[in-house]
Amino acid sequence: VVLTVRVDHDRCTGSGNCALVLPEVFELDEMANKARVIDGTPPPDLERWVRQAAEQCPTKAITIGAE
Amino acid sequence: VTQTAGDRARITYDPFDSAILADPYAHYRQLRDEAPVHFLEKDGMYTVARYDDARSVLARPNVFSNDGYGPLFDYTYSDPSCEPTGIGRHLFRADARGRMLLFSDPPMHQPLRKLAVSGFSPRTIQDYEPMIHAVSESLITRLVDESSGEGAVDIAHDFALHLPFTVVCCILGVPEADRPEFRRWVDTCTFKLGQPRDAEIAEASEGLCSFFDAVVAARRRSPENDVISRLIVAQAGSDDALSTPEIVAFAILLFLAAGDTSAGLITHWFKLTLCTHPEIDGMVREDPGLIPQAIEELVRYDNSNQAVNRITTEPTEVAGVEIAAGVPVIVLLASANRDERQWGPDAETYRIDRRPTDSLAFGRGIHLCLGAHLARLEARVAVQAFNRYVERAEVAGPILRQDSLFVRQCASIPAILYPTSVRSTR
Repeated sequence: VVLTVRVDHDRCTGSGNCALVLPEVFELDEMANKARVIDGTPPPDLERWVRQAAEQCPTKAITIGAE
Repeated sequence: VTQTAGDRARITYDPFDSAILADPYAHYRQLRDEAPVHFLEKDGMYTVARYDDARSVLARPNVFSNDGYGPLFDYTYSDPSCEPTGIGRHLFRADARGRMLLFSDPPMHQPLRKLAVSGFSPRTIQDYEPMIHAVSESLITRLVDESSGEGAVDIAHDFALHLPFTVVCCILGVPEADRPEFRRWVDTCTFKLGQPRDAEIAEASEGLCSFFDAVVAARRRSPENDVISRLIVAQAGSDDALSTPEIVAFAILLFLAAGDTSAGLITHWFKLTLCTHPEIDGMVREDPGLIPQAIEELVRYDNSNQAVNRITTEPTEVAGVEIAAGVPVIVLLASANRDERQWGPDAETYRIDRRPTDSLAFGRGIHLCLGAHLARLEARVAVQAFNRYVERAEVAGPILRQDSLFVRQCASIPAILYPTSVRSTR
């Protein structure tokens, strides 16, 4: 099972929270003011932090899945 | 929308009046209701007081720039009789200013931020937790023993204000023997009331700069697992690697940003639990699992960092108010965090069950406070250590405040500490 991460750009308001929680997976595109996923299938040992990033997103724009 | 001179005259907020800074919240409310975007005539700056407007300013970093933020440090005295300190001129050398994280805009900002951000993620800073515990315990046990239910000790100056300073010293590798002098330099350089003027600031800045020059040189020779080494290693061999003065300026900025702000938050926790909301103390002692959300609500309700500033790069508008280019704009985060339009009619009430998810206490967007998770961790550990060793604390004298436009804190909280059985049976 592989962890998958997506950011819904319609919901994202560029708070920057996810990029601070897990910079290995998320970054804030500063020109677009939207979060960007830089590793859509992060290693399983990052799952706890992926979940924290999703919980702290004020607009719940982060979706975590498993494939 | 234009604000008339008459409208302006009714507004009581003045960012350089120490009485107002000591209790700014009623003034913020007036600003939100009557002048959400307000021109401070004598200072030539605007204030932005509502949540939505504050967010919209923070979301447009190329219009509301951080470049030029440095000189505004000159305005940070809350005592108008103090002369500007010139800290913006002295502290950051001219050759470092161009690429300071805090003073840069897109597109230059993102690569700088990327270099630093992994050093401050919750995953990285969890390694500091045992150290923060050890520092907190050593500070609080000394105070408990000294007070032991009889004498008054200062839990602001000797605990809350000391803890974040010591933590940054550990993170940046300042040896213990150097810390008293370091403390003096940092205190001189931060924005405090009644501080000495330019000559002393210049000397303190020079002290900080030479110290970090030596640290950077040492880390270039043999990198360790710290923030400064990361900055060096990440860019080794690259054409636009940060220079030594740039890394030094970054280290100093960390000290200034991580000290007073976290300290102020912990002092406000004491004010909350010992003075205004003692029931919160009972609740978190009963269920320590509530501490993180209690702190999260405190940073919304009464954060130490009250405001950030920006400077306009082009003519623009906020909530229909036109602002010319080159004008400073003060974003009143602490006012936005009490905006009834965002938080509801009880916005000015501390509610431990509020769980705010989008307060502006740490800013928002590209300059979101790098140390936000470190500040939360320090506050949580400080509260845990305090409650473990202190059964009950009684305020035993006047609480002294130290407030500037940017950072509010209690400078002194004299208290008698009654030890818990953990301490008294040791």
